Amino acid sequence: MSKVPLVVDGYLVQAEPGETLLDAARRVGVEVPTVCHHERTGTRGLCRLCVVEVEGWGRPVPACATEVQPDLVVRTETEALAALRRVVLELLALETDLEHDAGTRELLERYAAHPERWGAPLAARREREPVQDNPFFVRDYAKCYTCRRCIDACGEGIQGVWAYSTTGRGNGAVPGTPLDLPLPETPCVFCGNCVQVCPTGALAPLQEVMLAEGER
Amino acid sequence: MDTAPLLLPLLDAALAARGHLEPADVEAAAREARVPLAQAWEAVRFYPRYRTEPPEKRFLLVDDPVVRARGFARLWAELEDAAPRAEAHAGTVYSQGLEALGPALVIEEGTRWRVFAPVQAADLRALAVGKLPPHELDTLPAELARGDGVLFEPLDPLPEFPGADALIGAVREAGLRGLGGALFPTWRKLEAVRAEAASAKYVVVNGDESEPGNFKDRWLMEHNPRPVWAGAALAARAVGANAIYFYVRGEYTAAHARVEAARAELEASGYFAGLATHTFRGGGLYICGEESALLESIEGRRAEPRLKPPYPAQAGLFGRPTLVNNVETLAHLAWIAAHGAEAYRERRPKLFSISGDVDRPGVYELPLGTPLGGALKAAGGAPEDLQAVLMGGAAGTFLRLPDAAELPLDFEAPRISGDAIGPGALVAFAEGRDLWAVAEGIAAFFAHESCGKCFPCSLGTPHLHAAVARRERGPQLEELFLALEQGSLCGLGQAAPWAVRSLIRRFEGVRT
Repeated sequence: MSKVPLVVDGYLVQAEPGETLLDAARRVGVEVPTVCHHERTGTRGLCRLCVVEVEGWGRPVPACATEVQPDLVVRTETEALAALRRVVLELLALETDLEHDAGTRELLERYAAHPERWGAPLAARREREPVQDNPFFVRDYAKCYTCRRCIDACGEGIQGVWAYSTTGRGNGAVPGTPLDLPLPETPCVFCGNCVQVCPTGALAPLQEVMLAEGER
Repeated sequence: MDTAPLLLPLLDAALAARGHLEPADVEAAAREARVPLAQAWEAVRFYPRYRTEPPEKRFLLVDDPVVRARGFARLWAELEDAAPRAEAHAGTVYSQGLEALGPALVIEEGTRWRVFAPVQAADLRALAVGKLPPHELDTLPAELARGDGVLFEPLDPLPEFPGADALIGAVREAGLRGLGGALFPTWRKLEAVRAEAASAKYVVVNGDESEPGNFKDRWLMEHNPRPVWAGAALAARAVGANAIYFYVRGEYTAAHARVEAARAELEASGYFAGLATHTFRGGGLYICGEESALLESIEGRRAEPRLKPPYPAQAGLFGRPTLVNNVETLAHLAWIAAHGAEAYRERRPKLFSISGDVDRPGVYELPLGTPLGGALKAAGGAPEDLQAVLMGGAAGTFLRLPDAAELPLDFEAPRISGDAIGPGALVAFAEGRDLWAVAEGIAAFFAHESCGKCFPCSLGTPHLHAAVARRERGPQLEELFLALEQGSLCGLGQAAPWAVRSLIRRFEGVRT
């Protein structure tokens, strides 16, 4: 199959057919911000931080979920995109405990985010108590922004056991378990994939958590 | 997957039997629907009617743009005071298609919903002593369709299928567009699904009318569902579909019963020969009206919009090519098949849901192109005494009166100023009504209805509501508008800022 030529931030990219705009950007060293996308779990299109402008198209599109097409002219950093990303990052940081999420904290700096300008948090996220129902890892949903990588990894994405359910709606949506059961009573096989793909540290190996507490 | 029974009807059957769901009910439904328990639990924890505790008695004040402009706070205070004395919980529920009849109250006991409209403050006080409000409603009154309208009449006999080329050609020539609000040319959707080669295709009727201010689809489902089914059957034959799902908004029990009765009658008459037909009870959330979320909901998952492409025409219900059309659109399609494109173009009929400060609120069939002022006058409104109209619904805009009185209510004309007729709601507000209170209600609605999938909407809509409640204006709010409109995955988050933005720009003289 022949390559797909397109322009990303002024660079000519020869992309492979079927690649996404995110892949194409990475080929020329352009790092489009994203916090939900994960290659292995198939998670994409939720955080909307990776939205980019394509010449001649209406709204910005998520780079992680948009396939390359010949001759597209893509801009990944514009004033409007920066403003949009700043707002989403600010609200994310306002509502979520990002203590263990260095990646998102870096993005907050990159986009000069000031979460405090939005006042008090409105989601009850930060008040969530950590769940410790198994000997392997903790689920601390005060640190979770419901990117759903863990749910995808457990279900269709990797493991195929379906031990997690997304529960609630709007800013109250959060990963849970079927029938709200403790993980050992679900189909969970403790494969650890969910912990591996969690970007926020909401899912953390118990050993690490205990070590960190010991150091304090 | 499409051979297993659907999850939501299984959950509904268990709910009807017990009044709430026990873990065993959910497990049994998941088994029977052949879906993971995790998925069934997602549905239970998403759709509001799937309670896992025995329900309490609740008095729910219907919260819509009309009541927000007319002393919502006072009615709410009465209800909050009365409810505990009747051993009930006070709550609110968003727009129930009763804008022309409200203020309205829902009394929920077990799985039973009783709707009362109109209710006065005194009626709410009387709840405390066990007295029910005087006017109970099962359906919209048939007379709510005011004046003449070809869409108000039975289509008798129902049209024969003229062949795919003839039907799609007539729909194209007639200029029919999607009347659920998106106004997309209907013939193009038909062609797109027809062009797909697949062993199974579907037609889905979108009867999830949940856009505040709109009640024309509800009226059609309750009082004239036959032409809608006819339109769906004709469309199915034109695109080569084998089955039709009619998705009726979850709260609209009477509409569901009447749509189902019409289905049974047409089935018995042989009109559906070769087509499988189903009436589906919707999930009971605004997001269920988004076409891809609607499909997810039929499939038994959380009603969350899909990433597009692929569009439903390529990969829709159960991954098959699917035509999703609004109730009114299909009624028009049947009329076009019966009377021809030329007769249709002479009329250019469109249903408008007109409510608020007019003498005769109701459903009106008016020719497209009717000036806004003329539409309001038809409903007994006096444009010169009105300050504003909310056009389209919550996902609409405020227009200033009398300035906008000459605006033609048509597909294209309003776009010039960034407006749209949407599904055709016109909510009129007299001088002195507090439009900010209306905008606050709309912002609360979007925050409540956000599904939680994409970040800009789930994070942004509650902060939009907080900002509108503070009557905030300025550049920071404009940034939030941008993030919602440009960043959100679907129309819900994208449209969330429109009403308040139009209010600020048109009524405060603030420009950015």
